[in-house]
Amino acid sequence: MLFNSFPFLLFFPLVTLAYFLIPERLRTFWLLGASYYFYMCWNPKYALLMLLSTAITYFSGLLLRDAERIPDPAARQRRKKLWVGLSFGSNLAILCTFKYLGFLLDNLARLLGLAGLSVAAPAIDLLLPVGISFYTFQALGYTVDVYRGDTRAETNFFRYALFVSFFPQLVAGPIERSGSLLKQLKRPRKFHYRRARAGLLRMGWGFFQKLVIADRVAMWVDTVFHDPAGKPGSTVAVATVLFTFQIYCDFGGYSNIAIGAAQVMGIRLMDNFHRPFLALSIQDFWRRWHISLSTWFRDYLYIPLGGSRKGEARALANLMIVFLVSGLWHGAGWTFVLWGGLHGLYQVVGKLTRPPRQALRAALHIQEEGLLRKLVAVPVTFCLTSFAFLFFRANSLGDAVTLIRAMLLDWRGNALAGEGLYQFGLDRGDFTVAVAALAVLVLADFLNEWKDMGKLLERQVLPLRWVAYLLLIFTILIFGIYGPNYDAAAFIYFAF
Amino acid sequence: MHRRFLSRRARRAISAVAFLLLFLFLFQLLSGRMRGNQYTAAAIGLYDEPKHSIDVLFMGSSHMLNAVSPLELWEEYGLVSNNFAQNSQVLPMTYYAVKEALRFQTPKVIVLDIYKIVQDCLYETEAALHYNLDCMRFGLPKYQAIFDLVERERQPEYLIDLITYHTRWKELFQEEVQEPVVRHKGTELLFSTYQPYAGWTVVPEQETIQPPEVAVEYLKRIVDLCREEGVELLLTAVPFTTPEEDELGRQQMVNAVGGYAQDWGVPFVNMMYQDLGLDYSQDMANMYHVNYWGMQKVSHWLGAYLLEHYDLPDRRGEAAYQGWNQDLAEYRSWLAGMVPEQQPGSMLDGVG
Repeated sequence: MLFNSFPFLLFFPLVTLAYFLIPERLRTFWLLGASYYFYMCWNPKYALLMLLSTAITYFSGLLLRDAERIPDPAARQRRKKLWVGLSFGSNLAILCTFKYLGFLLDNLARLLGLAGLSVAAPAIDLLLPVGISFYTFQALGYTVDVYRGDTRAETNFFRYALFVSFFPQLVAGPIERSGSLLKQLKRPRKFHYRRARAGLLRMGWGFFQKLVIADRVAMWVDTVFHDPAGKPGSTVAVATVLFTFQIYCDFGGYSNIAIGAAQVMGIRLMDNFHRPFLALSIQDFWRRWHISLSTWFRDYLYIPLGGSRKGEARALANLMIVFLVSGLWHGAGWTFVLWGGLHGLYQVVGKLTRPPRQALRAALHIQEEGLLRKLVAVPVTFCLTSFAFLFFRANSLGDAVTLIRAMLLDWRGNALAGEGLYQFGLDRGDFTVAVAALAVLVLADFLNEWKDMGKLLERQVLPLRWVAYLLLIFTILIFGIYGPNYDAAAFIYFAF
Repeated sequence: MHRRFLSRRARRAISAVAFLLLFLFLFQLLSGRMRGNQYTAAAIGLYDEPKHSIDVLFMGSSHMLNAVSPLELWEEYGLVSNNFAQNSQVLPMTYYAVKEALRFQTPKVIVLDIYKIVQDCLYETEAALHYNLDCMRFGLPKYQAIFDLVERERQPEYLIDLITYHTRWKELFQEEVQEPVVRHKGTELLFSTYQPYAGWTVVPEQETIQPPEVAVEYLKRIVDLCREEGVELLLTAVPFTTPEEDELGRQQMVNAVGGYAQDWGVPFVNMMYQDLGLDYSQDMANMYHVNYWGMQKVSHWLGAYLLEHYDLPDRRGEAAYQGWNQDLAEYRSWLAGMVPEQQPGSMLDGVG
């Protein structure tokens, strides 16, 4: 069940209402049942897979707790490492089977092909289970937390299963931490009027991002990226910038709906997108973009690799490893690896060039926090991330090369002149709305950087608040991309 | 300490409910605006009539919609009727349209064109289904129809039609504006002329082909419904022509209704075999529908038939129906602008 589907508009209020009405001792079961139902709307079979991951990490938590009782420190550590290893090994094996096996075999066949051995890669026809990367990481995070002693092993299986499957953040995050979500699930949540109102507002903003912006600009993006051959470079540039906003609004919007929905139920999820395109550097971008994942990689991969504690060269290598793995996490394809690698490279170069850049700024008397620096750094960072997203969106490496070549060698700016602007999937009406909605988004992000607009709105008098709420709702209802592709002509001229 | 009249909790509950009501009100308003009426004008004629004021209701698909003009019947016979037929309305949908009509009117007779007995489906196209359902008012028949006829995953867009119509804001950006469909007491008139292919004939009345089960089933349900409601039902078929290769056997299927009517004990008069004075080379707007000139002949004949077989009052002198004379005057002046002085020549192959 997607958030932007009609069943969810029924499901969410019903689940929430019942959640607050039923006795507290039943709430875990209720939410757990609802979450599994939510998940099984995609494919009931894959719920078993989630249950398996849940069981593995649940028992590894208990075993880690028991291992703590081993008196000999060395033996204790060995045992603990064994359980963590088994938990990671089995979960990553499941993840790899369903997400990466086809990719691996395909590449193996190519490699053998290069070596002169012609082997056809067996066709792997496994449907990627929805959200598997998200809940697997959440469950593995728990294993490490227990291993490190940051979290006590959860003994209540149902509560733990709810932690892994909590429906608002199940399929697209934020990837939660046991220290936060599991703890909150232990305490009964009370209905809180203002909190619920703020949660609904956040959901509304998420729907605006997803339905009005992301799904609209996607039409232009798809037109260019589906068939890149012969597209003018100017349209490729527009498509790449639009895709940057699309993925932000799609993923950020989805996160906002998730966080808002949980907030209505009294559960606080971590922030996932923090105005990423106002970042001053790539490093800053990753503090603002998909925060739950980047902190996951920091805590459970970068730091265990040694982080920056083992010298500069090792720190840079660790950075590259983290971003290559992060790329692969996003999808089984070389375009994703390249996207991750590019971000790693940006940061390596950024770190290496920091001293000369700082010297230059000092020489020119440009302040670190000054406006001038922001005016340069924000657009530069945006262009770098946007360029990297071209690889993320391209259907293949070959396509990515075609697109970049078009931008460099075949610009044809006049393709965007006059009516040409409306030939790429967005007609005049949709294009106008897209531009207006993007302007609202950018303005909102700027204002939010200065002051939390949601909280500011909460403090206004009732009529003003209501006007704002209704404006948001009706903008989504009218300008959102949803429903059948209604064609007036079909209504007027249909065959009798 | 000063105590407020209402507790905080009560004030919040009231404000939440008030907001919800305001939202629903605006939502309804918006839905109506976005739906517009050029797509859904059909039913408006019926809803505009005073409740329980109509004596005869014409129902069925476009065949009937184009074939009978209630204002012609008013002028000639003083009959009070309404044409509640609808484009692309198959019999399953007609069943619910009859239910809907009976919420507002208690006609003495329903005259139902059964041409759609040839259609083996619950609806023809998505557009046709919207066309038929979206003009219905909020009420049981509409929702029964949605749950009965529409696939589950598509039901939301029929329950809340803003889902379909919300994109109409785009029409603000379009230069072409669709002309609204003009209806008079429900009817929709066609002013073109079409000539069927040279060898076209009316098949003998006893030639029949078994019609699709689903159509027969819903026709039977209409028969039962009218019987329960105490409304006389007259089944009929307005004349139509058929294509050269008529894979459906349309005429034969329509003829087959005669047998069912006999079994069920309801009258069926197939106008294909009545002397209406119809000239197929002049009176058809396209292959299946009579034009304005054909409509006059069908209306004239059917009005006389109704007066002969049913006890229907001439209401021309009644004070409550004086508005009809004004409607008639408007209808005539509209027609004056629509009907060409000379009937256009017939098109051999044109299908409107």
